[in-house]
Amino acid sequence: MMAQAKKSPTYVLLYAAVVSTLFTAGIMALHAATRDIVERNERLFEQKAIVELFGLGDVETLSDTEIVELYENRAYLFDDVVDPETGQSHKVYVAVDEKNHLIGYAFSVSGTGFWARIDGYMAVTPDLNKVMGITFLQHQETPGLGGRITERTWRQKFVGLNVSPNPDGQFIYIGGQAPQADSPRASRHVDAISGATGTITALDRFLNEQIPMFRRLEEELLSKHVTKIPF
Amino acid sequence: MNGTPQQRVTAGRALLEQVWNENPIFRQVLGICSALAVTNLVFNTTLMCLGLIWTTTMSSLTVSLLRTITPKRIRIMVQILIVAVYVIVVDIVFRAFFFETHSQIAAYVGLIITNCIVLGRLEAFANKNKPFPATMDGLGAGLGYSAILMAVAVVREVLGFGTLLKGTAWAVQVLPLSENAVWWRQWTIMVMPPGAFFVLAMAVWAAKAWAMRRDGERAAAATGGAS
Repeated sequence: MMAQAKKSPTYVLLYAAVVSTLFTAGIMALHAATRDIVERNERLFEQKAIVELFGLGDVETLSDTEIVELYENRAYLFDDVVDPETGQSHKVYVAVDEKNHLIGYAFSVSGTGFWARIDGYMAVTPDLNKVMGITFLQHQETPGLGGRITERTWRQKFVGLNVSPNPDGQFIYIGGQAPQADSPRASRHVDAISGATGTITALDRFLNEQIPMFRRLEEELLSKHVTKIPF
Repeated sequence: MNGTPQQRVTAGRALLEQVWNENPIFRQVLGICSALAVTNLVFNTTLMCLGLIWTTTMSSLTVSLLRTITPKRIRIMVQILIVAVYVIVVDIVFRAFFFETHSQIAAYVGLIITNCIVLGRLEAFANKNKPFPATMDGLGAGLGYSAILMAVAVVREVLGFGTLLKGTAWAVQVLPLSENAVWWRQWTIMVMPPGAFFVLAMAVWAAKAWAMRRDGERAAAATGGAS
């Protein structure tokens, strides 16, 4: 009797519908219950990165609330700065010191890495000539090799890098032979991560492509947006 | 072993079979894909294993509970749905509580859905057994998988990074960094997926050799006793 009923198409369809609905409802409930925590995690992750990027504080020792406080007082996000050349909008952070003096900008940089898209920020001084820091928020590079781009010790090597316009067209050199100390390239060179050639080539390519964009975005930012900041 | 038709399996028996005698990785060589990908850091592997144990256990229980009312024709669809639900639960929980590790292993967590071990146990066991033995069978498969993965992860992390539990508060430097030692160079290959091939293959070799020797000794003892 039961075996017979289980074979009827109506039972099969009904069963599939009921089971799917019940399980999906369970997932939706769990998703809704954790949404706030997940959003807070995502926000905190980016805020932590920005605080570290501009050197506003030591993220290793600060508590989460202190990081959020620093971020809220000292960093300003402009998420729709349009590049006049491409018409695309970009995210730019502006940071100030305790006396509300401008200390730098962080421009979003992104491109295709060895496996997939890499997203991050590069912070530069107000004259756009010196790197304050670099951070990568999203990537799928090989853990331990290309994945090491997120490690602080490697990212620190970018601090102080010269990114002013260069006669030969390239702004920075990542990897390759280290230049002589008196070479004009010396202030623009960063050591590669050994074994992570694919990631490094990709970074070298898209960072050099996007550094000129900083000047266009800064102009846009100054003319339209930063009036919101109490400099 | 002795050729009698399959008997009713007790829960404890089901658990032990999966953990050792029928270990999914050693004996059935299932679920190798994720074993290769996530085993270069012990902490990531731990989370991955917890995710898999949860998925095999809970989906075995659920499939077993629903086994008498599920139409045979759509049972695979229902099984996949159940597995997917538990995997999404894992994904959501990791995203909420282990945010940074989640960003590294998210792709592999999703792939638990297609892990051969899970569907294999559901079809072979949970589908035709009572809930308690089925749960134990699922738990055993998860534990059996995890035991091997953890062993592989320890070898890979120590040789590849020189650390244990890197990325957590309990991280220890077991071997020095290449920069600081003349006698030690980190094995970069251990960090990359091919490293897992070597470690896993050697582990399977060792375990098989051991099991075969044991079986041989038992057989010898049996014949010796008979004569």
